[in-house]
Formats: sequence, C-alpha cells, structure tokens
Amino acid sequence: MIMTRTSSRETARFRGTGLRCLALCTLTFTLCACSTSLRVDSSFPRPLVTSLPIDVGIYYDETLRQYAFEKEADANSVAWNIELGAAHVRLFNQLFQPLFENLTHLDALSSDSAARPVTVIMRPSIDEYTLSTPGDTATDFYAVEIRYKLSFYSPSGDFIQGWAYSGRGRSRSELFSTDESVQKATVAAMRDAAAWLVIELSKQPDFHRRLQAQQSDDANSLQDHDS
Amino acid sequence: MMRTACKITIPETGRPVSRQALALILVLLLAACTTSRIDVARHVSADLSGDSAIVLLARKKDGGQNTEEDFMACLNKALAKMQLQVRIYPEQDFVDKLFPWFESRTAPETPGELPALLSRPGVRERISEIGVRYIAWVDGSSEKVDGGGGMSCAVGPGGGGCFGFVWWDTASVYEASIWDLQKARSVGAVSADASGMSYVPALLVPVPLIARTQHAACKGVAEQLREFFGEDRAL
Repeated sequence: MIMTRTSSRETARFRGTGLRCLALCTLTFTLCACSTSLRVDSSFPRPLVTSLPIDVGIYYDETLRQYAFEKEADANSVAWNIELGAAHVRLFNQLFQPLFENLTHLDALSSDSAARPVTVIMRPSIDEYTLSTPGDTATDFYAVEIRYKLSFYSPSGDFIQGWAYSGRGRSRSELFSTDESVQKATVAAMRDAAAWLVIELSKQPDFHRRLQAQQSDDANSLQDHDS
Repeated sequence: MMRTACKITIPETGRPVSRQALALILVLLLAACTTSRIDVARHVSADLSGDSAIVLLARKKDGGQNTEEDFMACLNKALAKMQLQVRIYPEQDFVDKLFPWFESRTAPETPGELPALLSRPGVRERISEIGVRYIAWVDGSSEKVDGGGGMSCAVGPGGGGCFGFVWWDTASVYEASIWDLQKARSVGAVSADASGMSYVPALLVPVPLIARTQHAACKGVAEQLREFFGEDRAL
C-alpha cells in the first residue's frame, strides 16, 4: 500500500517535470525556428506637384503585382516573407494620378491597335529589394534598399528607354516589434524613391517629346543600318 | 544651466527582498542619477501674432531618423501640456501634406534653401493653408557609451533566477533648430544633453535602476521651446 502511494507520487512528479520540459522545448523551438510574414500595408500621400499635360498609359505587369521578398533564416535573422506588390501598385497610382493630366491604365503592354489615347507608356518594376538587419550591420537599425526601373514604351509597345533609380529607408530596431520596424524601413525606402521620381518627372515636363525624338532617331539609325 | 534629478524606476517583483538586497538597492537609488545641461541660442524673438502653428520634425538622413520616435512623442506631449502661443501641428500630417518636399533626400538642410522651396508650385500656399509658421528640426539620440558587469540566469523545472550586477552609462544629446517659414530664416536653436549611469543588480530577481537621460533631455528641450513660444517667454 505504501509502495503504491510512493510510486504514484513519483509518477505524478515525473509527469509534471516532463510537461515542463516539453513546454520549455516547445518555447525554445518556436523562438528559434520562427519566420516573419509581412504585407506592406501603408497609405501614401498625394504629391504636391503641378500636373503635366501629357497623356500617359501605365502598365503594371504580374511580376510587380505579385512581387514578394523572401529570405531564408541565417545567423543574424529569422526567415522573412514580405509582400510588396500591392503596396507598390497603390504607391504608383497615388504618384502618377496627380502628376499627369490624363492617365490610362493598360491591361497589356503591346497592342495591335496603335490608336491608344496615350503619348507614352510607363511600366514600373522592382529590380531588387535588400533587407539588412541590425545583426548584419552592427547598428540599431533595420535598413532597406529598393532598386527600381521605370521603362518607357511607345503607344504600340516598343521599348524606348529605362530609368534606374533606388530608395533607401531605415528604422530603429524595436524589441518585440521587428515586423513593424521592417515595415517602417520599407515604407521609408518607397517614399524616398517616390520623392526622387516625382521630382525628376516634374523637372522634365517635356520628357515625352525627348523620348519620342529618341525613338525616331533609333528608327532612323535602324533604317540606315538595314540599307 | 546644470540640473541634477534622481528618477529611478523599480518594477514590482512580487517577491520578498532581503535586508542586504534592500540596503544595496537604497545605495544604488541614491547613485543612479541623471545630470543634464541645457543650452539656448536665440537669434531673434519669435513673432507670435495671429493663429500660427509649429511642427516638430525629426531630421532624417539616409532614409531614416536617428532621433527615437519615443523622444519625439515625449517632446510633443510635453509641449502640448504647456501654455504655448502656437499650436503643435502633427509631424506626419505635415510631411504628407507637403510630399515630396520634406522627405529624407529632399528636405531643406539650411534656412538658405527655404526661399527655393517656398517658390515651388503650391508649397507656400499649402503651408499657409495648414497654418504652420515654424519648424523645429530635432536631431540627436541616446547612446550607451560605456558599460560592464555580468549576470547569469538559469531556469529549471523548479523555477529560475538571476545573479549578478550590470551597469552602463547613457548619454542623450539632442538639439532643435527653429526656422520661421514666413520669413524664411532661422530664429534660434536649443540643445540639451543628459548623462547618467544605470544599474541592474540581481539577487534572484533583476532590479533595473534606470537613469532616464532621454526623459531629462526631452524635458530640457521642451522647457526651452516654451521660452520661445510660451506666454511668459523671455524676449
């Protein structure tokens, strides 16, 4: 009888210890193996600029719409999955709508009919997204750099020229809100690049004429080369 | 101007503290102080006629700001409580309403760049519309400058605890440059720096005794801004 009582007490003690160990292991595993998924969810301001009297077509391809950054876990960081496409479409709409008097959204870049009501077509794209964690840079900051390309096309969809530009953003690392820090750094980088783009386009109100002239020159030189 | 203030936070542990530990804490309570220094440079007095507002902007570089967001929040909160003759305009609203002209790479760095900025289409009109007359550019941060000690913690099935002693020095240095947007010039600058030593002794439970240097610097900058814009300002 006594033996039975002792063994059931020991069993209960071992069971309790086992549960505690299991809970501790689960917590450790969760902390070590976690990854962070993030959707950039921010609104962007309407730029304070004068509208340019140009009929512009804008084309967002699926690569931009679905763009996501993925990074495997390493010694300095957990794994990351950051959805950027939808936020960029929102950003470009907000930028270009007030910048051009007539903006047309296009479903395709090339068209059989050249009679599109646009002078030039723009196609923004993300070339590269880079995330540096405080562990990478030995600072207190998360840093983001986004490299973009803005490609210009003729109304029929022929490539004319591309502008490469980039934006940088930083945000101080906050304990228990890593995703918020990365979100802030990303939005700062998007705004930084957007500021450059808006000012560059505003500074060149006749940029479409120069693009058209360049297209004509390219066509002439191609004809000369053929003949 | 030098100020010394002892402000220590001790979290509730819910555990009994031994007499020796209590004595150690009391000694450290006396020692964990913050020393702050406030400097003011006034070029011209602020013109506070009419309904005008001031916006506190954190100076940004390389796409981000060094000044902590909680420092900006502390400064805004402190000024909101004071009797100022100007309204406080929200920072993010200002930057958004004037996008892209106050972003990291486009914001004016000196008052000399203001005339060019104000001549851009719509900028002066937008600033008049929202009624912002002054900008206070805030720059600076709090940094850990030195530290030492050690602490080890252990957790087991029967419980856990820490033993050791950790300390560090913090220096908080901030400045605010005030610009008059209407007259496109600088009207003055204030700065505050505070330093202090923080301790964390641990006998089972770590007891953080934090020198609140950032808070002291925030109060210092806010007090000086009140002298610029308050009812009892020294002209």
